[in-house]
Amino acid sequence: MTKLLFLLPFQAKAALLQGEVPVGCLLVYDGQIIGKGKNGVNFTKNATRHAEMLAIEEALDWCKNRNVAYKEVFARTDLYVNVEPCIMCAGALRISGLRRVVYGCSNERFGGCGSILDVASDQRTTDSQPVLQCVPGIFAETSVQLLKEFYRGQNPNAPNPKVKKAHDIQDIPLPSLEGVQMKDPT
Amino acid sequence: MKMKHSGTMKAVLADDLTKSMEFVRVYAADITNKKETSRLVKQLGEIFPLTRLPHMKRVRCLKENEEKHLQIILCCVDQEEDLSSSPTLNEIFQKAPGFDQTGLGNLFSTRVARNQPKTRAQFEEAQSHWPTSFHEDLELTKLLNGTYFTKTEQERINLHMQMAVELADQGKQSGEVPIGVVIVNSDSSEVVASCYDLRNTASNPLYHAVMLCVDLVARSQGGGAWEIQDTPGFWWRKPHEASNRLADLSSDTSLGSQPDNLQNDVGQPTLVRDVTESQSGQNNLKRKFNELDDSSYLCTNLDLYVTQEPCSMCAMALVHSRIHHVFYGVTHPDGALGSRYKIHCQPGLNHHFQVFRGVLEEKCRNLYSEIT
Repeated sequence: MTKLLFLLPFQAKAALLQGEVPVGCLLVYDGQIIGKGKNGVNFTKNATRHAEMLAIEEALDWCKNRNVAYKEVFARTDLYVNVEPCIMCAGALRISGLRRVVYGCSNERFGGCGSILDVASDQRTTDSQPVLQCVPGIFAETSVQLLKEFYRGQNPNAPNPKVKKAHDIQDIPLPSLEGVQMKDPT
Repeated sequence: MKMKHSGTMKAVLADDLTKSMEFVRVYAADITNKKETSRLVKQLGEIFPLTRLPHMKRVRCLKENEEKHLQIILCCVDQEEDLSSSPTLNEIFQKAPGFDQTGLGNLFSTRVARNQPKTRAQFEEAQSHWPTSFHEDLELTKLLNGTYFTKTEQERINLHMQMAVELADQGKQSGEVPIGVVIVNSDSSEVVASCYDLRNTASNPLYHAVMLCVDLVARSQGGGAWEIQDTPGFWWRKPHEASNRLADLSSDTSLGSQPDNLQNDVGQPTLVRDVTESQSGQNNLKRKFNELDDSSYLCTNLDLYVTQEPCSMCAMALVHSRIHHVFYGVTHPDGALGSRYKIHCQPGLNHHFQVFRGVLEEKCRNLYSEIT
C-alpha cells in the first residue's frame, strides 16, 4: 500500500508538470501494476486522452504480450485514480469489464461515478458487464491540492473540487501490494 | 427557402422542453366591479405576493357573449389544505383583517402552470388554464417544428449519413460491429475524418468508431494517439493541407476570389455552403481565416454523423471534444444521446450541443437488422 501511496500522486504530479490536468492512475491485477496512465490531452490534441484510457490500453497490451484474455484479467483488476473518473472514463471502465475503481476526490464537473451521472452502476440492457464498484476517498487531500495547483495556474474561476468522505473504505478489502514489481517511471 | 423535413429526422431535446406542464392550485375570484381591479392587484400583491409564480398574470379576462368578465388570482392553495372544504373569502383574508373585499365576487380554485413555459406547445397548454408570460426562443421553435435546416442542408446531412452507412457496411464485411462515423466541418461541409468500428478485429473494447474518429481529427491537427494501421475507409485530412491552404490564403491578393478554392482536392465528397454574393471578398478572406483557426481546436465547429446512437463513453468524448452537432441514424437502448441519458444537454456539464436522430433511419436500421 505504501508503494501505491507514493506512485499515484507521482503520476498525477507528472501530468501537472507537463501542463496537463493532474490526473494519474494505476491498474492493479493480482498485486501487479499492469497499466498506468496520466492525462495526455494537450500533448495529443485529443480531449479523450484521460489517464484511465491510457492505463486501459497499457493493460490491454500487457495481456496481449502474455497471451492472456483481457476479459479474464480485467474482471479481477482494480483501478486506482486520484480523481473520480469522468462520464467517458466510467463508460470505458464498464465496457472493459474492470472490477473496481478506488478514487481520491470527487469530480463535480464531469464525474461518472455519481457526481454528474452514475454510469458506473447503471443497469445495461444489452451487455452483461457487471456494475463497477466505486470506493471514494483515497489520497483525497493530495488530489485536491494538485487540482488546486493546476486550476490556480489555468482557471482562477474554477470551483475547488469537494472531497467525499471515505465512509466505507474499511469494509472493502484492498488488494495486497506486497512484492509489487515497480516499472521504471518514464 | 425553409421547409419541413420529408424524413424522420428529429431534434433530441432536453426533457424540460418536451414534457407537459406541471400545475399548481390557486384560489381565484370573479371581479364584480372592474373599477376595483387595479386596487385589488396592488393590495393582493402586498398581502399575497406570487413569489413562487412570477410568470403568472394576476388577472385574466374571459369573454362570454360579447361581454368581458375579469377574474383575479388571490393566493396559492396550501398543499395540505383539504380541497373538499371550500373556504369563504373571509376565511382567506383572515390573516389580513384590513383588506377591503369590495369588487370580489364568487370564490373558486383553479390550476395554473407551476413554471414558465419554454416552448409554444407548453405555452398553449399553460394558457388554456390561466394566462402566463412567455418568451419564445425562435431557434427552439425551429428545432421543434422541423424547420431548423433548409432543404439543401437536409440533403447534405443525408449525403454525409450515406457515407457513414457505407463505412458501417465496410466494417460489417470484415466482421465488425457495423457502425460508421464521418466528421465534417459545419461551415464548409468538408470531410475532416471518417472511419468505422474496430473493437472486434483489434480486440480493443475502446475502439468504438466515434473514439477512433475523434482521434483521427486530432491527427488531422498534428496530434493523435492511436496508431491505426492503414485500414480501407479510414481517412483524415492531412495536417499540411490545412496549413497549405492557410499559406495560400495569405498570399491570395485577389480579394474577390470565390470561396471554392478552400475546398479540398483529394477526392473527398465536398459540399460547398452557399455564400451570399453580397459578401465582399475581404469578408470572405476573413471568414476563411477564422474557419481554419476555429477548426484547429478539438472538434469545435465540426459535425459528427454516426449510424447508431453513441454510448456513454462516446457521447462524453464528444462533450470533451466540443463537438458542434451530432446526427445519428437509429437509437440504442443504452445510448447516451437520447435513450438512457441525454449527455448533450445534461445539466452541470460545460459543453452542450444539438443532436438529431432518425437520419436515414431505414438504411441505418438495416445495418443492425441481423443483430439481436
